[in-house]
Amino acid sequence: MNAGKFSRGLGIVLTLFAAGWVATVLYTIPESHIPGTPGPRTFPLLLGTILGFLGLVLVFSPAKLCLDVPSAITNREVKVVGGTFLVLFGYAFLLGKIGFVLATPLVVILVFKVMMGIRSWTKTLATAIIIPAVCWLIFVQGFEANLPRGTWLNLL
Amino acid sequence: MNIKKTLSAFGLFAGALTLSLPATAADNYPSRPIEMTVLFGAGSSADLAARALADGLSKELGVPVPVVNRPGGGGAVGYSYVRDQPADGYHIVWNSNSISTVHHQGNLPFGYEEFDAVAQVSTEKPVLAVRENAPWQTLSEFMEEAREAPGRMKVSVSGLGSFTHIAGAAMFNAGEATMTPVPFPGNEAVLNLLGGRVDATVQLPAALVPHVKSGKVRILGVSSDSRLDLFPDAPTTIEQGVNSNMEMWRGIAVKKGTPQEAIARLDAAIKKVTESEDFQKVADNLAFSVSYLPHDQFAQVIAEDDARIAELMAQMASSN
Amino acid sequence: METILSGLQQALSMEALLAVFIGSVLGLIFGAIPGLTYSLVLVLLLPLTFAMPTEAGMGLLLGCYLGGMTGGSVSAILLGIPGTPSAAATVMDGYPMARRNEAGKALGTALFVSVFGGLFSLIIMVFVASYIADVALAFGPAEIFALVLFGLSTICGLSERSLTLGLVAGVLGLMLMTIGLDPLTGVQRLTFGFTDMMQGVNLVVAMIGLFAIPQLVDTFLSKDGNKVDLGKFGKVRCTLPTWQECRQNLGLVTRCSAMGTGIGAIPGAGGPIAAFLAYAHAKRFSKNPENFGKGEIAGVAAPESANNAVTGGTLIPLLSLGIPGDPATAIMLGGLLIHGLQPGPLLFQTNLDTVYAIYAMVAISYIAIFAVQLWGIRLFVKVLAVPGEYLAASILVLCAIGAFAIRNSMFDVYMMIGMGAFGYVLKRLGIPIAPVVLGMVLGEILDTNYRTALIMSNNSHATFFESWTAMILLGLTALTIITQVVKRCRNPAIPANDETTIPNAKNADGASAH
Repeated sequence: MNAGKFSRGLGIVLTLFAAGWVATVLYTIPESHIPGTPGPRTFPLLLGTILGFLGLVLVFSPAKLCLDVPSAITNREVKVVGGTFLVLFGYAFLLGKIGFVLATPLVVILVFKVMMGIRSWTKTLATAIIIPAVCWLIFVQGFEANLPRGTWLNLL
Repeated sequence: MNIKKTLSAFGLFAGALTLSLPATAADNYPSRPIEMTVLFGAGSSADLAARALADGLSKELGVPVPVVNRPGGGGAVGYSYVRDQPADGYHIVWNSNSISTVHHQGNLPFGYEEFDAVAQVSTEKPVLAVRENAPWQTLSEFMEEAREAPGRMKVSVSGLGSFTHIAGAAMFNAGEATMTPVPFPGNEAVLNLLGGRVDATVQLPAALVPHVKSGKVRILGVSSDSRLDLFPDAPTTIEQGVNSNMEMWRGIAVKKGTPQEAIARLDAAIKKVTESEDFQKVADNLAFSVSYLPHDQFAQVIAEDDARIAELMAQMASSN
Repeated sequence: METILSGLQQALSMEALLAVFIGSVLGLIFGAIPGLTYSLVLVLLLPLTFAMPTEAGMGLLLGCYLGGMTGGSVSAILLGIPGTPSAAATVMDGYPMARRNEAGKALGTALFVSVFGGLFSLIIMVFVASYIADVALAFGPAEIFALVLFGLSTICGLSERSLTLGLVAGVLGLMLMTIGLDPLTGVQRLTFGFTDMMQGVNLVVAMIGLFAIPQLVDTFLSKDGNKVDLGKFGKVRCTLPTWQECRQNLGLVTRCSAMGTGIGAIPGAGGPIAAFLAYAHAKRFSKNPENFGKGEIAGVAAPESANNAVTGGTLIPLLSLGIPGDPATAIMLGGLLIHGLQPGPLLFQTNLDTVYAIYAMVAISYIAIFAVQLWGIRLFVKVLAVPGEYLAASILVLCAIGAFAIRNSMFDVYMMIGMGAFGYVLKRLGIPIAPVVLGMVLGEILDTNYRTALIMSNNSHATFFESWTAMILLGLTALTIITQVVKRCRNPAIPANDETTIPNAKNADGASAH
């Protein structure tokens, strides 16, 4: 991929997004309560238009822009990035279902074993217990703060 | 493989724990912590009042009453959270007129009917204030000028459709005049009055205390039938012939269907707290009035206020 | 004189001293830990101060605020994850320095200029508070709009490679902030009817996601060794900046401190604007602007002195008008009110001793910060030697806690992850992140002040040209944009940067070679 292609591709994506944004704004945000004055939709509309314009600039003048073409996406990157966000969303989901105290060890084990490929189980389990325990001590015991609690079951 | 094993081990462990969770019963209420949802961020004066109440309640009831801030959507986030919890009396909400304003603004799909009133705790009377050197000495003079040139009076409020805006609109309605409401987020409504960019402001007294005391700002009218203890010299709207009486009430509510015993227990505890000297001191510091009402009367206040706010907001929407 | 003495006596009581010290250290630590912010620790500490004596409670909150502002630079420099939105500008040069194994120098500079900026603003606060308070009153919506526009114009200077991509990033940041309830009319914008979406995008939550998650991905990508990642250095040196290096930047740091104090005093503006403006200022007047973004020491000194000077600035309207300028001072106002102290013009007449106590506590807090951090730097730098898996697991968990606890909202945890994905895509495409943060910081202020100004002027745009302040700021904005555009047109091809600006492209290249 060369800089021109990259710039055009990015420009098209941005222009399409901007068009969708503007349409959504026009469709969902009401006009100002005082006719003629800028209201809640003015700013989002303006921003959508500017983004669309910038997108078009990227599409039509690629030669003048000095862009770094991103390196190609490798299979490994797809796997790792996909894995990271699976772990993150899974963690968020579990936080809401089984609470901080149970979800955190699971996620630490996943990070150690799957994402980082650590062999030692002792190291993994020790960290999986210590991290949530320290956080729980500091936040729940120390600050009397609220940590995510589960709707299925809850230990706090 | 290992992961699977670990997961199943955790599953067993977790299953064992659910069994040991305490069963809830209405007769020994309260037997575990009661969580109080506050609709504002930490540090706001409504939050501080809620924390003082929670502190007292915890001593009265013998269980912790943690305050949890769930701000957002003008209160919609917190109200929705409490409505989604079980109706067991362990989830209470520090509510206010915002239940009506947010609902009629279209940002909350349900209204006050989804909650049972527990007790009213406090009221705050919105005031209309001007700079010390403003030409108007009384509310009547101010309203007269506003009548002569409709929309000339710029009045800073905390957001369109907010309680201060509605209270201001009610005052101008009663004075048969119109204003140009200028919305400001946060404390900037007062700042812009001091800076001379608006003619007047409608605010809760707490926002104006330092400026009224130092004489930079004068109160033209208190939207009530009785004067403020804090500023006994400031006249009310009613005594100046402007028939508008809107107060910001705050209190405790629970999800509809909560056992009557729990509501009665909470109500009694709140009554005790509001009578205490400690709570009165907090009220003085934060410039609100302690005004306890039991659950049946509080329910009536909420319903009446909701009808009035609905009418005013409909009127405001159609006039624009 | 007597009041000064009694004020000092209060501030120097054993309890108050201890509280200031604990607050400063807590702030430093929370600021330094990625995911956790001083805004969070202030929220958590506030209820604990109710039962304390007034001065101790105040000292705890104040120390935490100042310590947090200083500590925010630590994770910005070491891990590329700013500890507070105000430290986002510090990442640009601090992080490249750390990767050149100059973490100690960057941290040392950040500490020295933070303390300098803080004490500078304290002196301004003590001697000309009432004058600065008048300046705050003179800033109406039109003037704030002009200031914010000026702040936005610094985007031009932040996007080294491509002005277009910098602008795209800035606009995306501004767009994000329109999501949620419109603060002026209460109308839902782009919420698609979801109650949770009405919370909108919280700046702190977004910042955690934008910076921390791409770093996490990079760590996982390069777990097998020599790539750029968390915990890359086996041995880390800790060299503090020399006296010579400090003196070189004295003029710059003083100017940035003055800027920070002034901007801090304008309610609603706050730390991040000051930090970005200071960064842009340093770059514009530098002898070697091409070094910015690659680890230039002035690029750390400018934003760090400005954001700490903001602390004194924000205390001016808080104490003299009773009006908090940012969420942190709003919490401090709560702490004062609950103890029966009403900030405002009268505080200086009736409770002058408290005012002096606060001044003294600011000074003491900075002494504590300086002493603790001078020793702490040596400790913090060791973070770079911690194996990646421990850092990754801790950062992941802390980010979730930090995002959740700000508003007790699971929505914010998902938002943080979503912003992380957004941040990763931007980084991968070579779109700079700093303008996104700037856009997010300025978005709401720009929108609301523009509209409020026009409501007050009956929709006449002439209102933006009525005061000298607004005129000057708009003129500066125009000047910045024009000079940048002219420069770019004359010299469109900017030579390729070294690896520091586009770490990910390199990183992925390396990974694909395996």
